[in-house]
Amino acid sequence: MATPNPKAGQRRPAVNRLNAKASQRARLSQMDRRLLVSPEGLPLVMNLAGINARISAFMIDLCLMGGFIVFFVVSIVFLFKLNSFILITLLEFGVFTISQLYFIYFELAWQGRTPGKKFLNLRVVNRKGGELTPGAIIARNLTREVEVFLPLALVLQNFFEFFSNSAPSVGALIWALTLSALPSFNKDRLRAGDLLAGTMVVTMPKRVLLSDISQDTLGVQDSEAFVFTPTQLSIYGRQELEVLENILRTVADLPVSKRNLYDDTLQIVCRKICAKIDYRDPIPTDKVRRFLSDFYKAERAQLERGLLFGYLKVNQSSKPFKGPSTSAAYKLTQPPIKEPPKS
Amino acid sequence: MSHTLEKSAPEQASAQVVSGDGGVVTLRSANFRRGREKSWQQLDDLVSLVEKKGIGSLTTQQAIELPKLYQAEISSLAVARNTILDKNLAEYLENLSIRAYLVVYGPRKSLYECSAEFLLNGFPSSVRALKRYIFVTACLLLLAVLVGFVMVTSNHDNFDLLVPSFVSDDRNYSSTTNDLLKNEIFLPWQGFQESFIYFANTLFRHNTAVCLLSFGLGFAFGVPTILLIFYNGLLLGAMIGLHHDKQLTAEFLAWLSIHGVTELSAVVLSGAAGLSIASNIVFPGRKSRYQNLAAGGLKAAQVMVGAVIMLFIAGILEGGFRQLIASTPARFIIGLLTGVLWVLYFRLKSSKPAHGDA
Repeated sequence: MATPNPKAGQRRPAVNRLNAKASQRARLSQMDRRLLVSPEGLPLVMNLAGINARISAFMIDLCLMGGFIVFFVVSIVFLFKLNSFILITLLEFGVFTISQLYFIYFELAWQGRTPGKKFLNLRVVNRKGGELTPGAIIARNLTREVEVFLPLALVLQNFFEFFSNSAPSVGALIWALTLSALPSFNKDRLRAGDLLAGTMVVTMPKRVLLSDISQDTLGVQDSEAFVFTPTQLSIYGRQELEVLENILRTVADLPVSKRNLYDDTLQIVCRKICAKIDYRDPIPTDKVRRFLSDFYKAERAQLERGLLFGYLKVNQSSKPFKGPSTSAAYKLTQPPIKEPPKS
Repeated sequence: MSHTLEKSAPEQASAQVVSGDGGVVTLRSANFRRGREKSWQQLDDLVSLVEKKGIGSLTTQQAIELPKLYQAEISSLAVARNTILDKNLAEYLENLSIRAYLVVYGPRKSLYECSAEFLLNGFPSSVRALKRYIFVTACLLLLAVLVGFVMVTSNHDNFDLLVPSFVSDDRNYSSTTNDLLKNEIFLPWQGFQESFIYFANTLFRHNTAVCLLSFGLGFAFGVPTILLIFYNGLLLGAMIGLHHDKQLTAEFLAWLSIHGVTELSAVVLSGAAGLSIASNIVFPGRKSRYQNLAAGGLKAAQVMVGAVIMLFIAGILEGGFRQLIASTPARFIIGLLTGVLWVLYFRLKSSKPAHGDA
């Protein structure tokens, strides 16, 4: 969100900046979108997890795993007074088991999430959209040895060999690092384990349903509402409507005492809209928010009406909806009949 | 454009917009939302509950409600996508429906059911599915054993070349027949702790690491897998060669067979799993490499998990029973018995139909 700028006057900014941000977000998310057709026949949208988020999640898990191991070691050492021989064996076996089973256990128990993934809103899902089977979870975690721990060992080995002047195994190292960097080479960001198991990692931040701002009357009677002509409403498109929604929501979410911080921004947006849609009547300062809210409602009603007739005006540069022509209405009600293939 | 889409109804007062000609246009999307918001909220609560505490935490009533609410929500989404321009609402519905989808069509089997299914059906059937690769790997291993044997028996110096000292453990051509008998083949019983706990554990971890490697290295087109299997075969062949020259062939093979049948089977299985991955990458066939890997990878991984279990058993046999049973015929019999048991097990066909993919 744009923060209010104390120096009013020469900024056209809020809208432009928001606009640019929104379209950039849209572009990025478009690239990461993956569709999955539900059994009901509706494509559902999932967003691929970013590399950074996945590395961070892995680091968190690694730390937690280390914590478990330390806890295990300390409790074994202090709780049971075993002879050192059995102790070492037990510790080795325990550490081995924890390090192999940590990911498998959590992904099984938490439906494709480990603590790190849960923290970063990531989730393992079946690429084809079916059930995430235990087999898939085990398969995607078996290769961790080769993807993470082997390259790590090779790096260390090369590091020491470099100092001891013996021939380092650079080829193996390059290959191992390539394998661990696999997610950055394919468009679905799959690591080797994901390839085997037919899974992918998606990001799924929890969304909250906010209030419908078209229902925000701002304590004014409907009869006093601002009125717009269809021509005035045919200028903007969905993109601008979303920016306006953003601004109105930000203001509505603020406590009353802080709302005046946005007065300037609202003024500028209002002036800009008035100029664009050719709205001549002067708008009193205390009614600016009301004006924008009314404009939002009217514009949304107009664009949604277009949608009902199958036309979406994407933004202000796309051509406006001219109202239902008879032919368009006919097309919508009468889908073209396909001739059955002659056999 | 003089039209009034819907005449106002008194209870929908706030969903109306005054249109240009003074008429009133109802904001349909607001009405749409008002009618359905409650059921979305119910679904959201149920999904959050399941995400937090698992599907078992639902009451019967809730479990009945969940799919109904889900279907209602999915249909809301289908309508909303084409008629509603409230961005927050659209994002919320998209997000809720995918979360609900994962709950409704999520896994329904418990861990116990899965393990039983794996042992009774998954593992044996995956092994059968990979039998071509298993055959190839076994042949490779035999070839390597033969090569190792010939190399060592033809030139004794090759033994030290092939077998690193941490494997040979003072066993080489300078040791006498007696040494080998006393320190290796009929090593006295070391006591329960030493054998069953310490030694078995070390062997298990070492072997598992090797097998995981030969499986995972299938990704490098299988070349390291082949090398690893071949090298292990060479070592085995060299050891057999050494004992052959000391006139201990039968004793050594008996000593080996008690655990080796299980252990070598596991090694072959993991190598075969690695090779099947490699062949999915190198020869994708009709499907794409991604689809191929996803289809074949699960089988390979099941074989791998089974191989780890086999290694666990082999570790116990090797660490404990091998020294406990100090008789060559008895060792042979046990080795043979384990072999027969494994073959019978891999032929096991579950009468129950297997669950589908999704």
